[in-house]
Amino acid sequence: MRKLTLAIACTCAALAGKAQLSPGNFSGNMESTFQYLNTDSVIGAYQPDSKALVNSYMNVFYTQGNFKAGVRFESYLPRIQGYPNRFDGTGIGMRYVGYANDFVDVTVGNFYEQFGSGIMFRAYEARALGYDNAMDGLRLILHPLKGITLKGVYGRQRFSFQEGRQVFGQGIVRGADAQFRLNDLIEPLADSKVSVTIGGSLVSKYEPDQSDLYNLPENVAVYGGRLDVRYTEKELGQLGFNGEYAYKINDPSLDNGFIYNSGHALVMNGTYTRKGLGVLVSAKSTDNMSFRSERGRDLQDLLINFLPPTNKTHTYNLVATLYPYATQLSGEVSFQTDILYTIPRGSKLGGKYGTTLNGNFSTTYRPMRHTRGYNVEDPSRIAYQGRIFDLSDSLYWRDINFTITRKFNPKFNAILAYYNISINNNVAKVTNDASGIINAHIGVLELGYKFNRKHALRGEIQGLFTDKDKGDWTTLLLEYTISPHWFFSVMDQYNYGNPKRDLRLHYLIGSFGYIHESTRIMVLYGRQRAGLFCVGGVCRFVPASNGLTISFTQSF
Amino acid sequence: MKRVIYIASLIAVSAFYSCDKVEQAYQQNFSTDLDTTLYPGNWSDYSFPTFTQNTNTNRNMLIEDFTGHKCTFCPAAADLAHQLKQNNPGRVFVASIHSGPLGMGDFQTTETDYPEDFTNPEGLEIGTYFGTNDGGFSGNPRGPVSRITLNGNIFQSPGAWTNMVNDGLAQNDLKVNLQSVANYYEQTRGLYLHTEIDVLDASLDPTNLAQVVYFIQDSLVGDQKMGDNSHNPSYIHRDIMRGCIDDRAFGRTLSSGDINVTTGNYQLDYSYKIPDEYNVANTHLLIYVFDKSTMEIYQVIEQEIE
Repeated sequence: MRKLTLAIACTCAALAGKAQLSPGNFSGNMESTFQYLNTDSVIGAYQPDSKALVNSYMNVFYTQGNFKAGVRFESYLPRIQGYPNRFDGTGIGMRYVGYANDFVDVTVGNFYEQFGSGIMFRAYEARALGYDNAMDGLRLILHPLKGITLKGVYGRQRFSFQEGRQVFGQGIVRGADAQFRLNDLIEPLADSKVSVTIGGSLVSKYEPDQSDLYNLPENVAVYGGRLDVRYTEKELGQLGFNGEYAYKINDPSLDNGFIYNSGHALVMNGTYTRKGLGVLVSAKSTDNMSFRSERGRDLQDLLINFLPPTNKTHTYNLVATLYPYATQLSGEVSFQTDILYTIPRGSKLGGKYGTTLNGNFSTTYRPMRHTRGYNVEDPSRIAYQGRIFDLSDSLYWRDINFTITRKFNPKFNAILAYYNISINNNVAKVTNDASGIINAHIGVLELGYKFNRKHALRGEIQGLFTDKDKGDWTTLLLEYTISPHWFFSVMDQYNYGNPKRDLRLHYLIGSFGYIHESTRIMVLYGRQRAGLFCVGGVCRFVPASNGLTISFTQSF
Repeated sequence: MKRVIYIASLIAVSAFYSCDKVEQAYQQNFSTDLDTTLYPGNWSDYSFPTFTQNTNTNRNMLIEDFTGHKCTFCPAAADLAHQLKQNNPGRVFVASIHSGPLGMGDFQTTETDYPEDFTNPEGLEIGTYFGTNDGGFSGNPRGPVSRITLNGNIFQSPGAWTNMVNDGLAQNDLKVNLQSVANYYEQTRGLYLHTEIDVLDASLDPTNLAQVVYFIQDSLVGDQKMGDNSHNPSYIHRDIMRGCIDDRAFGRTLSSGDINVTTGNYQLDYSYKIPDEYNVANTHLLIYVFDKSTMEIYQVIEQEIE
């Protein structure tokens, strides 16, 4: 690591020195989050021994002609709450050098990459979650002809950040991907209204077999293909379909109880868009598609692939944080429909400024597993047969929601939303206070008023109603903005319907912030309850806290 | 186009070799590290235990009393450790390890009046390690309580033991659960120990945990230099750590190969021939799991042999 860092520094310095006329371009960003926490035994929040916590990072990217390099410094002194507890110290958390022109793009060191929808390979970072499975090795991208992209990756995955150093998994991940845009390659299609792109990937991991009991496959591969077709008619809009299928060979692991079943994943999306209307229909079938570079890992550690969620990502406080759904790696059969329609301006229903309606439905079931004729103790250790889109009657998740957005005049707008959530807490666990299916109704009214060009006020009132778990909640939010620099907000979550009277608590948070060009400072003080924090179906538990948070972000 | 095909083939070939389809999941000749000769019958008849759900909710504490038979302050520390064990039956255990910070020290060497050698290679290795790491320790008597770090040190003066034990029991922060079964065969003096490790705290990295098994002699009457510098030939030495049954002072690290696929828990098996010089009825095992980064012992249990 030290040698590579030194090499990056020397190369940057040499290039800058050599080419005084063109010293290259530096860019980057940084963020620092400081917490001072108090003990609040009522909500289960405890002051850490150090009392204060701080996470910081800074990305610095350098380009000079075709050369590129980047480095990220990270610091956890110690880590803020909710981050993996193995993150500690200060050091370099990412570094790379590379070269790119029209034909080739090569990177050595850390890199992020995704093949297709990610169901076979996705190396990415979700900093808010503390999720980072960056590769460390080599990435080669070739553009041999217009419309053709070939990718190859080879390396280990980042597992942790300890004592200021990256820690990598034992397994080696290697993969190849090819994508062809047929309109660029087949002359008659060049000016066609139909756009067709096809692609295929193969990803393999190597991990030594150290078992005394099993013949574990040391090389496990997943392979598959994808198709993206779009038809565009200027007057009628655009109709699109994309789908990807992946097959994984036997991959006994802690996730699947060391069975030798193969796995599959099929994701499909159909879209239709024209002015004022958007329709999305999605379907997903996955089984035994957890794919990690170490077979003994769990949670979100060392995942090679990413199974995309088939449900809407909500943003309002109660619906987003109380009952979020985490993608089940063992398998799912999911469907989603999302319709967005804008009632035209000037119509009776649409009003002067138009009214937007959004309806969304998503549901997920456990896949059916046919066990007749299968015995996991047989030499093959194949436990069942799974088929594509073969669903059981075991509901994991259902969400029906509607949103109406209307602007009444240049100063006043409103949003009204309703959500009906059903989540299987025995599978996608979100609380220790309930079992089985939790049904919740959530209503939201958001009002916004602009006093003038600079001053605006926004308010939200939310209510969540359920017979299970901690009962009913309400949230009130007020946010005042003085453009372009200041914002102030206060939010109270109140669990007024908790069956235990002494736990009918207020979670009050106040915050304000200042923005100056690319600098942002935010100060926040208050209570936050324990819960799951999710990004794209990937979730991490965040403990309760009470205290001060100061965050600073800067880009350059 | 040829160039495209060539490059695509190169990438594909470089990746395609990596695919192992396994038809026979189990190893044909199941190998074991256990000494099967200690079983008096046909090894194929040996019955491995099936662990049921571990219902324990208590975190136990281990006092490692680093001592020496020529250390005058050590009998008082041993009495205190024994008293804490007696006051908390089944929750506090003691291992008296005859070692100083440099391993074999003046307090541990044998001579005419102190002929019994209480030391063993693993005990000395542990003493030597902690003599220079994790805060070190100055001499005997000293010892950690479940190797919990207090004020930057893992090793503590006996004066700190009572509070640390009481705090640990009160906090009862159970991160790892243990259970075990022992099968002893008198004919061969062979012992098979089967242990199950359930990592309860999801934030722990199991591959950073290791399990150690101490072989403990309950008591032995022998020579000890006392607090008044006198020689006591009838001193009762208690809970004498006589070694580790797998000769590993810092134990076996958990690995994915140790996972019981039915329970999802880790299972480690051991075989051990009990040395002839010990009365088996006067011995027991202490089994503990510790964090290799912090050295903290997350759980300890006692296993009777007979």
